[in-house]
Amino acid sequence: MKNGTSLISKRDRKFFKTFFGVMLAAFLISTLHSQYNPFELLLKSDALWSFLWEDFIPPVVNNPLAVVSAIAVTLSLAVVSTFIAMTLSFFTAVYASTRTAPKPRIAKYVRAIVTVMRNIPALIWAYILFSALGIGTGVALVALIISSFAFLTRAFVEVIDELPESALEPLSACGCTFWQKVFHCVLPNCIPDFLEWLLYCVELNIRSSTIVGMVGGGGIGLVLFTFIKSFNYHAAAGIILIIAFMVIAVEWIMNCIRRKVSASYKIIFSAWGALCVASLFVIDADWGKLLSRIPRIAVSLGRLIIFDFDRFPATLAAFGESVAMTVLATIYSAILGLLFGALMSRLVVRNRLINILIAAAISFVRAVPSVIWVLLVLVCIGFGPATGIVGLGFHSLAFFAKAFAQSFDDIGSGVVEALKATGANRLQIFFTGILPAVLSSVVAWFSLRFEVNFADSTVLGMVGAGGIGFVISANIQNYKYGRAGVAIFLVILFAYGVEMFFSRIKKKYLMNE
Amino acid sequence: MTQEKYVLVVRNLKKTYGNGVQALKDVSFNVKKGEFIAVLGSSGSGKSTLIRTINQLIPVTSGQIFVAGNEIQTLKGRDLRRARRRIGMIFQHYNLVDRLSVMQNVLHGTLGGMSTLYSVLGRYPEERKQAVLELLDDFSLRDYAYKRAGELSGGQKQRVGIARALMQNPEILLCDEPISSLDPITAGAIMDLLSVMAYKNDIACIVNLHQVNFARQYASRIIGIAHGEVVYDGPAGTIGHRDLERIYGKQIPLAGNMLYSTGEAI
Ligand SMILES: Nc1ncnc2c1ncn2[C@@H]1O[C@H](COP(=O)(O)OP(=O)(O)O)[C@@H](O)[C@H]1O
Ligand SMILES: [Mg+2]
Repeated sequence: MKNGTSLISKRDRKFFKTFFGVMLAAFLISTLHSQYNPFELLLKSDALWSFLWEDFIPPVVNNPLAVVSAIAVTLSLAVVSTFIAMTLSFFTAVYASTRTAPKPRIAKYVRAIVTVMRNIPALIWAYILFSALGIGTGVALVALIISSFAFLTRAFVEVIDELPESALEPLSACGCTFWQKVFHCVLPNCIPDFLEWLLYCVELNIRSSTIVGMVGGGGIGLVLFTFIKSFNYHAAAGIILIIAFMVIAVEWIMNCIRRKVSASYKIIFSAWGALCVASLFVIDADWGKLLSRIPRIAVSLGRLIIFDFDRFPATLAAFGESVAMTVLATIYSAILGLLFGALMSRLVVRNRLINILIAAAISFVRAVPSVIWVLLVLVCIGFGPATGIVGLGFHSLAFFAKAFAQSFDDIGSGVVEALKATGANRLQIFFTGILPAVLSSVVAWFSLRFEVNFADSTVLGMVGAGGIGFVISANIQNYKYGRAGVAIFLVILFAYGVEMFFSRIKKKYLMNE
Repeated sequence: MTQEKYVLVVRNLKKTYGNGVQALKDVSFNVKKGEFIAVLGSSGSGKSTLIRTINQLIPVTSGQIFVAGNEIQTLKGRDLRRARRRIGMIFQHYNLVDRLSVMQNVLHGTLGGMSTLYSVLGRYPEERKQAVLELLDDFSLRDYAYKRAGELSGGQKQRVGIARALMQNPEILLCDEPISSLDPITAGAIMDLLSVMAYKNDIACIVNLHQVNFARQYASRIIGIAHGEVVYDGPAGTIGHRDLERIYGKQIPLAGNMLYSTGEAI
């Protein structure tokens, strides 16, 4: 394209240069930094297979009753935390949205605080809280409430921001009070979108509560972690299958609710509320003690803010490790995700059997939380940068495959037919027609997953893999809150920077003028 | 058989879909070089099926289709793709890649003649690119060459669709309701462009239409289809009320009421 007539506009060329330039640079730097060679894994794959084959298969479930009660705890955590966070988020969101906020200046501060909170992963919250309140299921619940609160508040604010002025005007004109406006106009208008986010949040929290459980929250995660630590891999494999089944079942139920949702919001929320009350009995916690200790959270957070730059170079190196892991895991998995997404999509590969087999394998991989994959890779190939990259990449690959397959299918058969009619072959159709048609959504999924992978990479250290998570957890355990605070600050800063980069790219190049 | 005279020969064509619907029941006709044929028929009569079997987007159940002497329904893989290059296709919904530039969309017409690697890398030969620019000039789309196809109006999109098909240097153009999504004035302009380009390059055109008046105005010959059978095949000028009744039943879409309809309105 350098020589001769150009094919695309200057704006598009700039996009390709910026986006792929930054990605290529990030890729090269990360590869040099982590010394990661993807082919090494292929060389080791024999050992990996035999390990999986002999140590994990067949999976066994020893004590079904204990497993059922552990699952009940994990599900309860997700259900209750989302419900409580939803209530808090709703009242915060009406204060934080520019559409409704009675005091716009306060709204700005609220949004800033939520942004900071949102960029701290659930597992880091869990660590901070465990150090302040002691371990236990009740504390895990608080950690999940905080992280879902931040997630939902931002989502709700975006939904309310998109309300048209015309929806609010009639009520303002007739002199309604703020709360009348909120309950008679904002809530009814936004509730379908709110519910969409809530269901998504429940799905996220099922995985998060499993992970938070591993480090002391209880539930199925703790059961799994115990088996792995005691080298009881057959039992661990059994639990992993059960977790996958649990997540798939929950996603299936959420999809049913999504489809059936018409005007039955009252029923959904009442049922949910009742379920929460029941769940509170399952979550075995000393509620009085928990509530009395809540003020200690403020003390812990206060200690984190008193930064301590001792050993900063080591922190920085660990941070670099996490970033490199994120970059490589995301890029490799996105490329492979395109391949698997294509194999899953009926539009690209017209073979029902291949479509279905790949889709089934992908949904299994997706159902198991990524931190668990990292743990498995850790026990298979030991420490090293490859562990985090392969572990994160595995789950992320499944995520991309599903998202991309959906995007491929969404473009419909029109373009494919048109290119087929010109005499183009399958590869030409895929690369010159289908791929460009989904470019915007590929970039959107990529940015979304990059943020998720970074959050995951920061927690890997806590379960024994490297990176900034190790610095955070080790320092909190040794009461060096100031050092942990610096590390958490780095995490927030980077996450925020990445978010800015992608949202600018999207605004500048991908939206229509 | 005397196929040299004809660019397209269709013999005893039958198509039964997997669900048992007999979309085409024994259709036969010949198309001369440069002929402009309108295919009329109500919705569901089998027009799209007919057009899509000609370039084998849909496999036939039985019968023969000769494109410039080749029996296209027997071809596979590379040979089929080579045969398709001689047949351009134009769609009701344009079927462009909205995100790509007009230039890239028109160049898609040349994919059939290119190596896979070069086309994936976007390395189209310079003379093809120049040819596209000239064509866009003729279509008064030169200023839009670097716009995204998604940003154009319906009429402009259809012109890009026509340009893409012409880049194939086809001998036959298949057009499946090319104007059904357009307002009547734009529709007329598109039909003008289509007939001029077909005449200039001696391309045989088969156009599915919903508007009898457009068929009379532009086509030299009309093929009428009802329930998968050819019920009229003759000159466009002399088609009468009786013939139209055989094609459409009682509700004939004549100029007045059909002029403003879009889509599959009948
Ligand atoms: N992919 C398909 N599978 C099954 N039946 C089809 C399919 N496409 C079209 N048909 C049926 O074949 C008949 C002819 O359809 P079509 O060729 O699209 O008609 P037209 O283009 O004239 O409206 C209709 O009865 C339609 O329902
Ligand atoms: Mg049709």
